[in-house]
Order: sequence, then C-alpha cells, then structure tokens
Amino acid sequence: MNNFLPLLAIETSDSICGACVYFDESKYFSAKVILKHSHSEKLFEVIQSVLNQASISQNDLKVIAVSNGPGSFTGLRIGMSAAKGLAQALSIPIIPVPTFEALAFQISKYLPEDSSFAISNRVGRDELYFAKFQIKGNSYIFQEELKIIPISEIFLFAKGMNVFGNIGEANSTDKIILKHISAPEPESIAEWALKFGADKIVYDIDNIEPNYIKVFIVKEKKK
Amino acid sequence: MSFPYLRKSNSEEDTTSIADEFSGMIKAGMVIVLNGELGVGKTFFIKKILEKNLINNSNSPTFAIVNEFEGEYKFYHFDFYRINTESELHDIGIEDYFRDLESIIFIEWGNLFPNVLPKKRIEINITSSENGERIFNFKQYE
Repeated sequence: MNNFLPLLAIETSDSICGACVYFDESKYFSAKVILKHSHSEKLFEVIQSVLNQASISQNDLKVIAVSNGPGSFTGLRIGMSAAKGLAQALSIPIIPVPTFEALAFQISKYLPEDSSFAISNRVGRDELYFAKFQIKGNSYIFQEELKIIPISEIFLFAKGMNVFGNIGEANSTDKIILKHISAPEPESIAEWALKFGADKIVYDIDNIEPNYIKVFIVKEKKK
Repeated sequence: MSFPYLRKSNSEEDTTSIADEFSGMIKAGMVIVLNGELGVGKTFFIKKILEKNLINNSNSPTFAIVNEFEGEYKFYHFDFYRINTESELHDIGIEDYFRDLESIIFIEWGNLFPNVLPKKRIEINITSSENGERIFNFKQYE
C-alpha cells in the first residue's frame, strides 16, 4: 500500500468534521472541527489546513480514504461528495472505509486482548446502528454484524458492555457503560484504509455510495 | 394541558389562545404532528406557536418541504403534503432531523407517512364542522 502515500482521509459521519494527510504512523497531519451543522462549510478548510501543514499540494495525493458509514445521512453525503470531487479532479482512486470498523480498529489500541465492546449510533429517534466487536491480536473481529435495532433493545444487545456511540445520557443506566465516542478520528480512517483497504480501492468512482442506503431498504421492506 | 385533550375554536382569536396554551408545554426534542384537511388551520396554528417563541417570519413549508427557524429553540417545520413516496423523505435526510434532540419538530400532514414518524410524538388532529368551528384533538404517543 506504500504506493498510496500520502493518503488523504476524510471523516464526516457524525460530529467530527475531520481530515488527515497520512504518510506513516510516525508522520501524519490531522485536523478536525466539532461544530453542529457545519460539515459542508468547514470540510474543505480542514482539508486545506492539513495539506498546508504537510507542505504538500493536493496534486501530491495518491488516494482518498473516506468514512463510508453508517452515520449521519447528510454528513456521509458531504464527505463522499468531497472525496469524489477531489478524486475526479486529481484522477486518483477512493477507498471507502466502513466507519464502525475504523472506530473499532481505533478502540482496539486501548482495550485488552479478548475484551468485547459494542458501537452504537442513532439512526433517527427510535433506532440504532449496532455492531459488537472483540479485540484479537491488536485488531478486532466482529461478534455481531452491523445491524439496526430498536433503541429500547440496546440493553438486551449490550448488557454489561462498553458501548461507544452517541446514544446519549437519556438512555444510560448501570446496565451498560456508555462512552461518548461516536466517530473515528481521521487518522484512524487512514490507518484502516492502509491496513485493510487494499481490496477495496475503487477507480471507477461514479458508483460509490455511502452505506446508508442499506437502512432504507431494510425499512421499506417492513411495509 | 394533559392528554388526550380536546378544544374547540370559533375564531382566529380562539385558535391563537389554544396555540398559546400549547406553547407553554413544548420542550426541546418534541415531535408534533398536525393532521387535517387543507385550509383547516394547521399552518396558522404553528405560526401562532412560533410567534409566541418570537419567530414572526414563518410561512408555509408546503413548497419548501421543511423550514428552519431559530428562536429560543431550533424549530423544524415540515409539510409532507407534496411528498409522493417515503424514500423522498429519506432523500432529504429526515433521520438527521430526528437525531437532533435539541430541536422542536412540527410535521403537517404527518399522517400521510406514518412509518417515518418517531414513536414518541404529539398528534394534533384538526377537524372543521359545517358552521366553520374547528375542533383540536391532542393526543400523545409514547
């Protein structure tokens, strides 16, 4: 994957509007803005700031890794359109990075071997995205695949577990331990792309879509 | 005001006073659905609530689908009347509006797409009788 450096990573799936120019684990430039309803305004400023810090121009980028969901519908669209615009102009490929897996990879650096944890973010009012992971050999494995669950059932799915996400205080009890980390850092998007993204590189970028669609197909089948 | 709640209005003044009374109980995170035929007064009722919250420039979102207002609270005012399929609501990112628990959301014609409505909501059904009287029927869903 060294042919793909420097890499630009973009994270806009939740509250973080972030970008990272990544060379290797000892050299990267990362920045983020946390400000509601501002991703569309701030993303290109954040990208420009990390390019400036890295003293490179966008023409030096070899690939763009973009946080691909699940997450905020609007946030994902902003990140993906920015990635596509840049990739098109620079004639470089995109690596779509599954957001929950990048966050799981980031968390795996801090939790002990074999420990389990869940990641769960709000879909709307009544539902959650949910996935369960276990730490194995400095990385993670899925214990439960990504799915959508009713918000009232989080206690059944994650009893006694560390749950990372934006579920909010209102639903927190002593049955689960909530950690308010709901999106990966931009450098985690970059690291995931370099470690696992080799077979996900997309050169024909026209048809890439964030993976929010899944939700709505599931929902519409209920009718 | 406790639910279910029924009020009758014989004039715009009556409706304004019902709106004032209802304004007193709205809180951040509430979803308020208004159902009723064209011209029954859904938009007028919301306009009066917004005025009570010092927002004086509201108008109907029938064309725009959603209007946003910032007063003491952030308000999103939706109108589902021109929506043809549920997927159009997903296309405008309606789940993101519902994720915003600090705002207050009004939805006119919410009964057209009941599947997308949050379970926890207040519904106001407005009906009119032959003499022009309006009946406001408030219900709470948990």
